[in-house]
Amino acid sequence: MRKIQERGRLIAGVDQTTLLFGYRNPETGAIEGFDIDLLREVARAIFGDPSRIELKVATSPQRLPLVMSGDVDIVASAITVNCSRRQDVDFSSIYYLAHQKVLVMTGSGINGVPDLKGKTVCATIGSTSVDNIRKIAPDAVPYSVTTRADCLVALQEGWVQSITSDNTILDGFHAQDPNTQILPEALTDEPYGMAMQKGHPEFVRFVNGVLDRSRTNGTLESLNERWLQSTGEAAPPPTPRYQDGP
Amino acid sequence: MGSYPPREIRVHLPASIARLVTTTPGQLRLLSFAVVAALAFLALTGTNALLRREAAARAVGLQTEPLLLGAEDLYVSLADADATAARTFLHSGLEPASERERYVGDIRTSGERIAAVGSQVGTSPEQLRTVQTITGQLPIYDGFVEEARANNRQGFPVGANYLNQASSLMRNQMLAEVTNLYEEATRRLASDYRAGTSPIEPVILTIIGVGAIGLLLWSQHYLNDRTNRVFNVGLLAATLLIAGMLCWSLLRLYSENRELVSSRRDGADAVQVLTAARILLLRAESDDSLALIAHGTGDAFVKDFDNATSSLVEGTDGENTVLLQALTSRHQTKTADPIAGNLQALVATFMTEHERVRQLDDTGRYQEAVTVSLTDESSAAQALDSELGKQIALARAQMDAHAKNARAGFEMLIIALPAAIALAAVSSLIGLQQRIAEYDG
Repeated sequence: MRKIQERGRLIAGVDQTTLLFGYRNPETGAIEGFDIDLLREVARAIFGDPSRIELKVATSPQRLPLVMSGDVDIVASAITVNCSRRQDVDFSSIYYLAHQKVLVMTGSGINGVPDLKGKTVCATIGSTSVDNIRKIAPDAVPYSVTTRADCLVALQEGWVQSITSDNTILDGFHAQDPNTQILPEALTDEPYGMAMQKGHPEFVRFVNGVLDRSRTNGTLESLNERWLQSTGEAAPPPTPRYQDGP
Repeated sequence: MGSYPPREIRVHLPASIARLVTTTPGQLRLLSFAVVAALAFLALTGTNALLRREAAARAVGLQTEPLLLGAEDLYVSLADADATAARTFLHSGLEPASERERYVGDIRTSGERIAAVGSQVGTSPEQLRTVQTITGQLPIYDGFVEEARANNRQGFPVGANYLNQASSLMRNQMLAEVTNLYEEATRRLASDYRAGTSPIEPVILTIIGVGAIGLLLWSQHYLNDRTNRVFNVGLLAATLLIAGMLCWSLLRLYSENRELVSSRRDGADAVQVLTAARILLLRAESDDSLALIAHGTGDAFVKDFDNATSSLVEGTDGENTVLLQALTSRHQTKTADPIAGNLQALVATFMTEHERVRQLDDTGRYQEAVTVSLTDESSAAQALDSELGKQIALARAQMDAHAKNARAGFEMLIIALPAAIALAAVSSLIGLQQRIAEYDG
């Protein structure tokens, strides 16, 4: 925490490939999204200036090791909080509750999980979404790709009939193709938290404080509105639960 | 006169044959027959040898070299389309008109070149299938690129995925097919070069030609013995004629051999090496753009860039680089050192700019990395590419000129050789007939 203050800027690991959450806008070249704005709130709380932040691009496999080695102070990139990850890093309180859902083309006739029988479902290799859909819809035919948005290509080209992923990702797909629709059924809960290096409880508490204030003063809600409302998927900011009590 | 037993033996032979073998005019008639037969054999084998070598020289210059160049051209225009599409994508919605034109031009040129190669592959079913496959894939490739472009213009990240689809179709399938064509053309060219420089024809020609001359000389010696005349004008003329034709033919074959060797060494080999360098450069350029477009998930492209450029600047044993090979092969034309040196300097500049781009991207300065990639790195690549293009054009001119010399001058020789041999045969017959007539009279 003091190190950050002495340095004069917050170093944050972010994703630049997920539209709405963390995405490099090709026109401006700036990385923007829900996660980025939230990190700027943390920087504002530390320095009183949301621009005192250095964004480091981290891919999914890179992001936790970067936190663990201390190369970045914090990571916010749609990370689902779970027990195995908790052994490696500390998490902030949950700032967004995502759900695994299914995206189909409008008018495809697929209206729910039972309709997926015999249909191809696209998911990213090695993601929890693949395992989940196998359990939930065992009759569906899985189709794996290496990069998330390859699923959208596959859907648009007619190679698959549906995509399953977190609703945050699917929101981004829907924003790129209005001929798609997200089925309302939530297959799982995916609570997102910010990851920090272990052994700095004061920093975790500070970030939790920032998130708490964002919840009460409406910042989180307005971010939700700004980035996610347009897709008709707004979820109210979840209520926090702390490891070390409220 | 008198003794019977030998006569009895001779009874077994027909009287006419006996006369042929035992009497001088008979032997002269036999000799005439042998000379004509030997000259006819020389005419047949000699003309055949010349025809075979001419066919090989023609195949080199008119079939396999054009096929090889066609495959190379096709590879270059496809790879250039891919590199240009990726670079254009980096510009986002604000692509410069020149880049767009270059891409569209590459696609159009590729289509034309596919058709050209299709007409050059001949009847090989495998090659025709390859051409059909590429023909079918080109519009699919272009479709992916256009979808990438449309999505990119709207700021949709899925555009990058469409571009990856396009690029992987191009690299893993289309360029692989062209590589097959190219390798087949290289094999055919090597075999035509072998056929065109084979020692068999000159050896056959020499043996039979020298044999025929030997027979003619021996005939003159025989006549000298039997008739005490020093010269037989007919046979002497025939001997000189055959010796002259033999020299002409051997010189032609030697010159063909020399021209084909030059065509290969100064032309085809240099063209292949320089084209390989150009292809590697285009691949490296695509990799560089794709790595940036992948937004930090492009490690595979960075690795591929390193692979491509290591063949360009390092080679497997650290010294024998593709460009050094180019240098060596050009060295034989005595104009080498400044050219190869210039190429290496251009490669070095390109690599330096690439390092800058990677360093900027790796330290999170993405936008600057894109800017450097689109300006300094791109113009370094451009300078290298146009220098390579210039050198390739020069090497191709060498190749063409030597191949043309190799097949020149055969037409006249192929008519002249049998005609001259026929003349020699007639002349020998006249020469011998004069002597035979002396006995008959």
